[in-house]
Amino acid sequence: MKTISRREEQILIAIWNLKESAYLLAIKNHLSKIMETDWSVGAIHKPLMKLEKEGLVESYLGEATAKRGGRSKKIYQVSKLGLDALKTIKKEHDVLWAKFPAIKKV
Amino acid sequence: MEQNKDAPPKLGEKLLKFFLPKGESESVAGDYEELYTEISQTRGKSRAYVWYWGQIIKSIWTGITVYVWWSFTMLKSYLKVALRNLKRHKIYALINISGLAIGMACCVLILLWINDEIRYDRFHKQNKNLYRVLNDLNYGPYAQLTDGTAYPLGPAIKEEIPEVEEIVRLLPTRKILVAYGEKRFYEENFIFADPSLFTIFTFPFIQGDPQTALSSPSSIVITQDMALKYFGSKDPIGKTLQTQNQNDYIVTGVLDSIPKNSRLQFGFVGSIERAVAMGARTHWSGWLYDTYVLLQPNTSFEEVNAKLEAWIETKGIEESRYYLQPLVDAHMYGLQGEGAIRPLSLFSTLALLILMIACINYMNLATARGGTRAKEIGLRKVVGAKKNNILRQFLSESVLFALFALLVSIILVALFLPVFNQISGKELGMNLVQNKFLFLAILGIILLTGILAGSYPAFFLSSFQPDRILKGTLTTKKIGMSTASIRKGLVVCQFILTIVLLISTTTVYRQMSFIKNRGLGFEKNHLIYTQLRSEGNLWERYDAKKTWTKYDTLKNELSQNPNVLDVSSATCLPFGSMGKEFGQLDWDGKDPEYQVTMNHMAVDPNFIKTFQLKMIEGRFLSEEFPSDSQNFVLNDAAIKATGLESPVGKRFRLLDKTGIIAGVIKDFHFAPLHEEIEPLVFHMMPYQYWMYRNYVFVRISADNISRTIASIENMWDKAIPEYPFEFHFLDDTIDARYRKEQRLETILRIFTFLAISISCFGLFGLIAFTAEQRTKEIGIRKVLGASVGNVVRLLSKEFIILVILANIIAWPVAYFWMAKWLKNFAYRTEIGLGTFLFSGFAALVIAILTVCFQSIKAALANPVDSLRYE
Repeated sequence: MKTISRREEQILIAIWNLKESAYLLAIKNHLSKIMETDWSVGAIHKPLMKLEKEGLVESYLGEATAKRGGRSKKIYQVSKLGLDALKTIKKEHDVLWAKFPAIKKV
Repeated sequence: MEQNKDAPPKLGEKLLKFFLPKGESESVAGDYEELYTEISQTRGKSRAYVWYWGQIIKSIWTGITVYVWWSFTMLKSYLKVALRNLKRHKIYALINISGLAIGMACCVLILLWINDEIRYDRFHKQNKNLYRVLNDLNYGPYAQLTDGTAYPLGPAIKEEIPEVEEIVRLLPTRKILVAYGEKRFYEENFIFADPSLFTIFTFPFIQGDPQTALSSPSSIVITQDMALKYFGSKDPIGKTLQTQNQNDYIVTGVLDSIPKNSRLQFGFVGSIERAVAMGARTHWSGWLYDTYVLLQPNTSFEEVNAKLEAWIETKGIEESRYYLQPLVDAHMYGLQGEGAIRPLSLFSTLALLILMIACINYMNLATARGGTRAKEIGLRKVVGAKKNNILRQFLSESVLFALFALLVSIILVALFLPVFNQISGKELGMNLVQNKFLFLAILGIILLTGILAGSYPAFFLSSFQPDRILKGTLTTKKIGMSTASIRKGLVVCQFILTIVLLISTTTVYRQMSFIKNRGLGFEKNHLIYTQLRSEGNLWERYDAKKTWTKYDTLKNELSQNPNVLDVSSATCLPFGSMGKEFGQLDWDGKDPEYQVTMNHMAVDPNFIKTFQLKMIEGRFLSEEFPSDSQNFVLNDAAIKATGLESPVGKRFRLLDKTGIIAGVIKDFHFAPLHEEIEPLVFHMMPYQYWMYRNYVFVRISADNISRTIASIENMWDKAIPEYPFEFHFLDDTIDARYRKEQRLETILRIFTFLAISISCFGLFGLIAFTAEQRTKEIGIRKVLGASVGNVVRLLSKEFIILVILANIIAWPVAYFWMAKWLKNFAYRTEIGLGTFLFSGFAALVIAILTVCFQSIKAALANPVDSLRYE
């Protein structure tokens, strides 16, 4: 399995959550909302390109709107490879976090 | 689909797309547009605009820093490795750098020359609007393109053509005696001009007023140099200069020295009115004047030319077609192709060829020795270098070599500039940095050399496959062999160039010695000449009678010196300018339609003895026959032109003289060997129309030449005290007519020498490398009984074959080039097989010597040394 960074992991999960509406801006907005920071387009795009190159995500061209100057959206979806990677990460995380005591307020 | 009202700026979008990866630029640009629209709707258009541009600038900035940072880091590594290699293989570095340095030094010298030539006449502030008037003359023997124009032309075109702002007419003189008190010198730089000379050209005054300096006919403007020569430290203004012992001029202005790169060179400027008052021709057929024209700014001179042509037609001038030529072209292109551009293009081609030979050395050594770098390339590739990176590495390496070579070449240029100046007849300086053109051109040479020399090795080396290198299946020797055929081709190219140059130099040398040794039909040595009065233009003939009458006195005096063998006089100077006539010629049985041009000169009867000419038929003109004052002697060529069967005794007419042909003289050369011997007619002195061009020829004995000349000067001063004595040797004058060819010979010789040396450097490097590669093979061969001769033959054979191959290709090339050059001469040497054999043999011997030196060294090595580690 390919090792992926935390950012890439977040993006992969975001794509998984967003389903058919997972295009660049949607991913950005989704993550910005959850992380409560404004992510730049480039900060998402660069890892996305890497994920696509490594075959963890796949893409197809979607609808176009007037707001986009008539250009198609590029919709991403998690590939089989990507899903395997997520599963592995989830499994490892669960094992790692299992023994961790509940965080109490100090 | 409806248009988006909040679309981002178009230019920004284009830039953005440029920076985005190719495959998804469309969709991402769409994403950006969407975001832009959102921001503009929620937070306002201007915010969105600023955000959008901010994104773009950020991406550009990041791109640049990343690119530059990494390029620089890699460049540092490339240079470090290059320097290590250079240090480790000093011999190859020496061969490469010295060859490139010599090639570049040639180019830099030629660049300095080009730079000097293209700046000719550019110092005039109005140079873009200045033109000279050319005259396409169609008038009998004078049918040619000339810059001589008629006196009335200038004012007429100024009046007729509105675009013409101002004109100036210049009247050059040949040689004039200028005197101030005791100081008397013959001056060749005396001109007459309109006062507008100082307003349309940029010749700054040191003293005097440009507007009024030439307003009086008796005024004269001189340059600073001349002021110093005649007046020393005294103030020149108001002083009187006298020309030809009779015409006084008052100095009214002093000019700064004329720049060297000005085509107008003068020391004295008189008023043109003065020349006219003295009798200078002012009719439409007196083509004595140079006319320059200042057009209004932003005028097309082609239009003015069209107007000029139309106007000439209405005026009914048939023998001349006038048109304008930009002043700055005048020097470059000249009139009959004698401009600066021709030697320049020849010599810059030669310089580039030399550089090319050096570049070939670099290519050959780099590819042959490519194997030694193979491991490095393999490793670089394994760690992630792409083909492009390796390419860049080797190109930066070759540019580095070029840079080193340039530094060496600058030193070479500084050393050889004086020699070069002597050959080119220039006074070039080294101001490489101040001059933008030179600086850029030299930068260009570095890049050109680096890329020319480095690109092929770079492509070759960058294509190595790392796995094969590191596994060891691609050995150094295999790499060396894979480019062997290209290398052989390049060596052949080098030797073709070298051999062509060798053959050309030999041919030019042979032609020059042919010229030197060819009998001219008269004895040119120990013949001095002087002018009875300095040669002026037609209108300055007042003084002629006075000195003419003294010729007999002078002759009698001279005859008393036993070292003076013969004295004679003539109106024209052989190898100088001759009188020509085409209309006023007639003879018995001449077809009235037939037209021929004949040279003619009036001589005294002693001419034949002084020049040691030979008669074919009849007799030379003689004082014993009083009627000979009207008779003629023709040369053989002239007789052939007339077609007369038995010419002696036939009637002949030239201008206003009618007489008989008294004799036929054997053809002799009175012009350079470029031309066939032309028809020539002798008639008797004195001849009133030509006596103002009076040459005295004195044949002296070969002993005590300096004493003889001193005594001649003494007699001259007694007989003609008004004019200082000045003399020339006729053979010097003749030699001067071949200066162009002499320069070609010298430069070809130098270039040939350089080509041979650099080619041999390369050959030396190649053979040294081959020997090094085959050390073990040679060792084994010797152990098994090979002799030194065997080994030498083994190593040298292929190179010798290459030189022979180069010969075969070079011969026809050289033959065509030299045959074309020799066509310039009516009298020429043959391009014999001997020249080719000699040049080919010479190239071969030099190549063999180079190769043998190294291969003998390899063959003599003790095989124990090369084999003991096995």
